[in-house]
Amino acid sequence: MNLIEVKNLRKDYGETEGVPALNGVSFNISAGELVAIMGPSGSGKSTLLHILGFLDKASSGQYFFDGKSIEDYSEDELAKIRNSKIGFVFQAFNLLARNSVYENVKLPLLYSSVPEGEWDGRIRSSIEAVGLGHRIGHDPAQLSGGEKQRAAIARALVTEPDVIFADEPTGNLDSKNGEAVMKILTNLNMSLKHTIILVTHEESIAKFAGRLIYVKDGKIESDKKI
Amino acid sequence: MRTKFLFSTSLRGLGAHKSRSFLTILGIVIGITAIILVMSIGQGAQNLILSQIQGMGSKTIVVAPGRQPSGPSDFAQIFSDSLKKRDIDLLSLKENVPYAKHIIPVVFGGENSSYGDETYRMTVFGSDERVFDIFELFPEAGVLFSESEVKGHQPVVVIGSTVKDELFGDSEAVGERIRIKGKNFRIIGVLPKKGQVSFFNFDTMAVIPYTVAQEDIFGIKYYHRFLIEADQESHIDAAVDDIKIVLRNSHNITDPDKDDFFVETQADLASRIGTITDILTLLLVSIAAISLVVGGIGIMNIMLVAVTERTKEIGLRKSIGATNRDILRQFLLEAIVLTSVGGLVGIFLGALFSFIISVVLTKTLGLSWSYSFPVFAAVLGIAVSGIIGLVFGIYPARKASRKNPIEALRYE
Ligand SMILES: Nc1ncnc2c1ncn2[C@@H]1O[C@H](COP(=O)(O)OP(=O)(O)O)[C@@H](O)[C@H]1O
Ligand SMILES: [Mg+2]
Repeated sequence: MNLIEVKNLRKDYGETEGVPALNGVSFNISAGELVAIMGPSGSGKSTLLHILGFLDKASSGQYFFDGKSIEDYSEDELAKIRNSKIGFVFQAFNLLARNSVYENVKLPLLYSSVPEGEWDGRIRSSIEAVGLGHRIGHDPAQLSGGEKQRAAIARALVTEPDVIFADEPTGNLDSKNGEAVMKILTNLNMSLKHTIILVTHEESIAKFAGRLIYVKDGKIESDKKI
Repeated sequence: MRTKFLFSTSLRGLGAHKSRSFLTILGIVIGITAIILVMSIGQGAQNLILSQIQGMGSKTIVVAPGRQPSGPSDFAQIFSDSLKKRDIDLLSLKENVPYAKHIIPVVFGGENSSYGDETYRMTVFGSDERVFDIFELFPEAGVLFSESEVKGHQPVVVIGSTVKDELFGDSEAVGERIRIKGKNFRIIGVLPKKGQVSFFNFDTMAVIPYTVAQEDIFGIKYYHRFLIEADQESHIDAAVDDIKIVLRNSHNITDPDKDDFFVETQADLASRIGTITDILTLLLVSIAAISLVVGGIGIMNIMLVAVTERTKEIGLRKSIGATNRDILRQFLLEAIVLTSVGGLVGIFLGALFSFIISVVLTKTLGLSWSYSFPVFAAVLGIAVSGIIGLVFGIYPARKASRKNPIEALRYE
């Protein structure tokens, strides 16, 4: 069954007259895929990812997550899904300053129903999975860009979500660090069977994916397996 | 989010800006300090006054002419002449007021006295020999007058310490004669300095037999007060009821609303004074409360700043699963923690200052001022400061909770 199914998604921000950010987008994604979304700047990639990640709502069209239309969820249920079923990785890392890597990774658990006894184990294994064990007590200010993004990935992993969304996760990193982050994401996809949907505009990053969706002017221009 | 983590999250938020948090709560600290101070001093003053009232003996019932005064400046009863000799005779009958031990008449008024070239305006207090027992008065020099001098209309006087100082200075007073309203009185005794006792200050009084006071000083046939002593404290209420019945019969009064006398016990006096000090305390507390409002506005202001500064954090928390309610509670709790800490500090400072004041009053003015920590005010202080956090924190917290996660994350 499809994990994600969207039909004819449209998004109007209202301000930009006549030009919708998304203009009729439809596709399916199954569990376990690693999908890269590419396209020029302003083409609607982030908008699409935000809608898929329950951070925003489409103006029209349908979105089924795990077979259920998101129209059926209440505001609080959406928050719960954001917490338990998805993990989000941002270009700007968005780690809390003055909180250690451990504390940052713990954050989603504070809002979860995961029993407290499991927290420590989950936090530590998430941090190990991104290779940051030696930085566990450090503040974000003491980390390099690549390490920050790995901490952010650990935070996305800690609730063991069904799908991880990453919006230009390597956009703020040099190519060496970007490659390391991508290795971690592909590894999560291959060995741990995490579904990963990432936005990028670098061909070198897109080659890690098993499927490439190309977006332009709010529409899907191509969608192919590689 | 679980309450436990809500607390640590909020404390962390505050800890990031320690000096700013401290300055913000100053308004609350000052307001709560002022309230504790006022309430503690009000309580101390009330205790002081009550302890002085008790100097009259807790079994004493006061009967005054006229109607019940409606307030502290209502003197209507002074001009009434309803308490007569006949009333004393009726009240004295055992079958009428079985629990009355003594019925003591009192007349009083301000008069000039002179000795040689010295003059002094004092209060002439006419009563009988038993009044000295009721007020526990003993002579410092000489003796007190006795029943035979009261019955025999003897012009003798026992003077208070201030009267003695004003007229005689350091020289001997006992045995000398002073003039009051053209009549010579022989001083037979001097009272020690005693200060205010109940409503009377015997230091500025000349106590003479009431028979002489009625006839030669005031020229009246009625009385200003009856002091009635009950045999036991538990009989006071019954005695008061009997006294009212006797006096109504004697004065032909059928409607209690038309009483031309009123009866007051120590308990009544205490509660009247309690009411006055309570009103004063309340007034001062309301003034102090203004600074709490100012403090609350300061809290609201700083919380609005915090919400704006932490827009990105709010966006992140929402994107990883915080509900609107989680965010609301986090910022509301921060405001409440801020104001409650202010309240605790204020309670500590208020208690400290009022303790210092009580020590100063005792040491310098010689008042028997007893310090008591106002537990009620402390509880009130905590509650009020918490409520201020709630009231002034709710608007910033709502603002935080309603932020759209995407826009919040994009905030720079
Ligand atoms: N919050 C917003 N309000 C108004 N317009 C927006 C907003 N976010 C994005 N847009 C517009 O929508 C279009 C798509 O933006 P976006 O999804 O961020 O593109 P991409 O991520 O592909 O660069 C752009 O024209 C952008 O200006
Ligand atoms: Mg983008």
